[in-house]
Amino acid sequence: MKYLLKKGTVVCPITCKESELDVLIDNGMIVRVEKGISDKKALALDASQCIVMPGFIDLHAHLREPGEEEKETLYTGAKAALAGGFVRVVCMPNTEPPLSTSFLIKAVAQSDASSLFCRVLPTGSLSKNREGKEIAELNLMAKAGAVAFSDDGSSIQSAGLMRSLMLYSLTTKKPLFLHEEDVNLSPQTCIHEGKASFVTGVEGTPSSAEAVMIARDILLAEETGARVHFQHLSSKESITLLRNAKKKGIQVTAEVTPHHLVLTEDETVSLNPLFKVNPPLRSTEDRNALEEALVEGVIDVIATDHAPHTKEEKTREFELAPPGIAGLETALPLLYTYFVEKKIIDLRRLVEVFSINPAKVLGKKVFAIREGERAELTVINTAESRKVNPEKFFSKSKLSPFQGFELYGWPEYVFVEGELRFLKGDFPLEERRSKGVD
Amino acid sequence: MKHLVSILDLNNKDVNKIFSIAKHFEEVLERRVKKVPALIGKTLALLFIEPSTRTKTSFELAARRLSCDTISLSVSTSSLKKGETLEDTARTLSSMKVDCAVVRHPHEGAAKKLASLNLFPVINGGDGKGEHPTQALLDAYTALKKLKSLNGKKVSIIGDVLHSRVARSGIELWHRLGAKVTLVGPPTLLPRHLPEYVDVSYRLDEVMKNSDILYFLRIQRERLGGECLAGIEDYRDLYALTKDRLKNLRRDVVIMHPGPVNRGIELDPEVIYDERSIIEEQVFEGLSIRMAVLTLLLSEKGGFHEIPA
Amino acid sequence: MKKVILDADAIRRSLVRIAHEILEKNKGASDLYVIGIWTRGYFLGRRLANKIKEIEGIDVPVGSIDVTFHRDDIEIRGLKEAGRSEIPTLVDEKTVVLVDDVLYTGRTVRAALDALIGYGRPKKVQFAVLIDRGHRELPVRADYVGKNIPTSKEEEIKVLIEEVDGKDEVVLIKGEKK
Repeated sequence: MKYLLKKGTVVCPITCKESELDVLIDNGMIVRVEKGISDKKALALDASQCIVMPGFIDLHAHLREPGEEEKETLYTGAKAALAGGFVRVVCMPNTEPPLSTSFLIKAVAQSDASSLFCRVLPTGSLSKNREGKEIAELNLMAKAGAVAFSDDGSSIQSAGLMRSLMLYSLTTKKPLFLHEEDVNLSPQTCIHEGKASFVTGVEGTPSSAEAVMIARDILLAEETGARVHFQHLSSKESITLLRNAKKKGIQVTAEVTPHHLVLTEDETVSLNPLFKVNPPLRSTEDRNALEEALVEGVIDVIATDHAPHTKEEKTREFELAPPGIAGLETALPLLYTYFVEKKIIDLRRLVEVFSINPAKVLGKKVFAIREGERAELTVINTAESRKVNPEKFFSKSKLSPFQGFELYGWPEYVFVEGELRFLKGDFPLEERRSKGVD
Repeated sequence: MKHLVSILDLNNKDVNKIFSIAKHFEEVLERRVKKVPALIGKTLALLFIEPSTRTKTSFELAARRLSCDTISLSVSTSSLKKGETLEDTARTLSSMKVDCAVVRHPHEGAAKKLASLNLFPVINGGDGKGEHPTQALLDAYTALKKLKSLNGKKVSIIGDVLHSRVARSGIELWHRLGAKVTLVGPPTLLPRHLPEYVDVSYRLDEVMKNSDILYFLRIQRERLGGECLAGIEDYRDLYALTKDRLKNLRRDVVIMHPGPVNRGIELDPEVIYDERSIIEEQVFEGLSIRMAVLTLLLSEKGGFHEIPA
Repeated sequence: MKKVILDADAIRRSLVRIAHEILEKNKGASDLYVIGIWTRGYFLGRRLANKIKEIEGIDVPVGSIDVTFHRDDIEIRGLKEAGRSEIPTLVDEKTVVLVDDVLYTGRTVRAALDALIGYGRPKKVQFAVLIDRGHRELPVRADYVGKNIPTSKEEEIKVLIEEVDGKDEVVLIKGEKK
């Protein structure tokens, strides 16, 4: 099968291209990238209002399988990720049972959904069964396909165990994805200690609950040489620590979520459970610090922390509702509209935080748009705006705090592993399969 | 009076002398009467404050092959929690005219403490995570017999190096005899801040092809779960000499283990009796090396270092 | 003060005579087994076996025995490098001729007898020495003696042999009075 992407703005920091070009894809491989290609055998895809970028990778999503299939499955999660413009999605191990054995890792890594939609890359739990007590079988899970290790959702409280985990992870050369939260400081209410806690009366989670753990783990990362990646940073204190660590040359990376970049504690004052996330939405100052870090390069990666829940759970009282929002399908338009359109970051930086840096964190080859590369492409339309309508999400979770936001930059075409798997809201491979053609 | 507390107590001349005397005793051990009167009338005290079958049996038999009497002291650990009581025990032994003592103790430094009293020559039979010099000697000697020379040979020590007194004594001796030492194990069980001449690897498969000697340490079962290791399966996949790995092993490699082997953990049962394993030879040389050490400490005026020409 | 007591020819003649005596006493060479005490006793033993072969045409087995760890005076003498013990065939039911260079206090041959028991049960044990210098401390005597040399305790007898020292010679060294 041959495809010809016509007149798209190609943005590839690896090849240093940023101009209107055609891209010819033959048998999954990019064979030509230049102006004015014509090939009558190729299926022409109009990209004249589009930006063509190396495929996006989400380092942080909860796909809920096994155990909580009412919230999401690998199938719906991979589909939502593809619709959100991602070619790879890293799923977290806080399932039921947790992804804590090579057997489960293998099952997720070989999921059928990966060959239809976005490829799912599993993360193994850091501690055995995510209990924060013993080391999980990191080596066997890495061999079975785990790309990283994480206890996301909880944080390793014991510094001794954390140090052992970092040391033991060196047998695998895989990164540790760390959710940082000291439970002695955090009441786990998902309300920022500040204006929100004062106004609502709910006990707040101070920024230090995150920052003290970041400080600890920067020290341990330096000592052990482990590859540490901090998940969903939320506070300016954490940013300061990270900035200093990077200045010192310590090998740590960090991600921030679109919701922490766009929203603040002001949204939680109403105690609307749609805005309940962990770590909590923090102050405007914190958000500003995150934005500054994103621009500066202190933040390496944007990750969705896609955490779908059922409507029943997510519409309970704030205190009882689970934290987390479905973010796979809004991340890219949010970043495009709020940061690229407003010229806070440029397109190259967008590609860095969504494609290049996530690949580097995983220790994988980065995607590039040039001849001889397999087509891994995220193509977004920047001319047409659309309102966020959660009812049309491909995720099982039909809720979003961004409902009604008018956004630009929605995915138009997505090529995964050389195949055109997303085409303006359609899923060609899924259709072909349901028709029995393969 | 001289002692054997640490491998550092021996200079290279001492080591060579121990090896050359051990060679003689090997021959004695093959005789019909496996006994010589070299230490007749002497008494060796076996002061084992920590359970041990192998080392104790080996020392006891070595002493008897030299016509040296032995007495075993079973002292409960609880009564020896304080240094003073260990000293008391030593002074009691001295009053009973004991000529030498082998000490096995759960705490590092116990043998050194006893030696510092200078009541009689003290041999360290293993002190906590400290040292086990006679094991290091017998290991090096057994390997030397097999390979003729250790110069430039690559020795990989695999397993829980951090808690291993065998490794602590061994690293120094292997290095001194010209071998290149690589420690292989999970970073949680490897010592940090190692001397420059020691290499480190986290995966057995990385060093297998390049090693002349694969020295496996015993892994304590209680460490398999918890904060150091991720269970038996993960450990075996990374560090055990399994049937499968055995198939891809060099023909001329030498497999060693200080014993007792955890069958099915660090070594598969097939490995123990593989032709490349010299584990049984290690046990045999344990006797001849300990006979040599006892003879040197008990028969020489001044013991090591002051050997008359 | 050094004085040569036996030169190479004299040593050779002594060994030839001892070989004849051994054959005479044992009525031939069957069941003989020559075991030399390491070091010089061993080489003298080898020479004796060669002479026996020349005379009788029979190959007599030769062994060596090291007595370092059988001595009762290790503490006094200090521990030297141990020598070679090599008993190639069984000694059981054999007539063993122990060979040494010098017989003095008798402690060495006692240790050798002790060591020999470790290898089996000989039918008979005889003892041959090149020099007997007297001053026995134990009740032993040699069956075959090359030369009796009365000495004082201050004197030293030095046996040099080709295989070890490069020449054959026995010297008496007069020491000063202690």
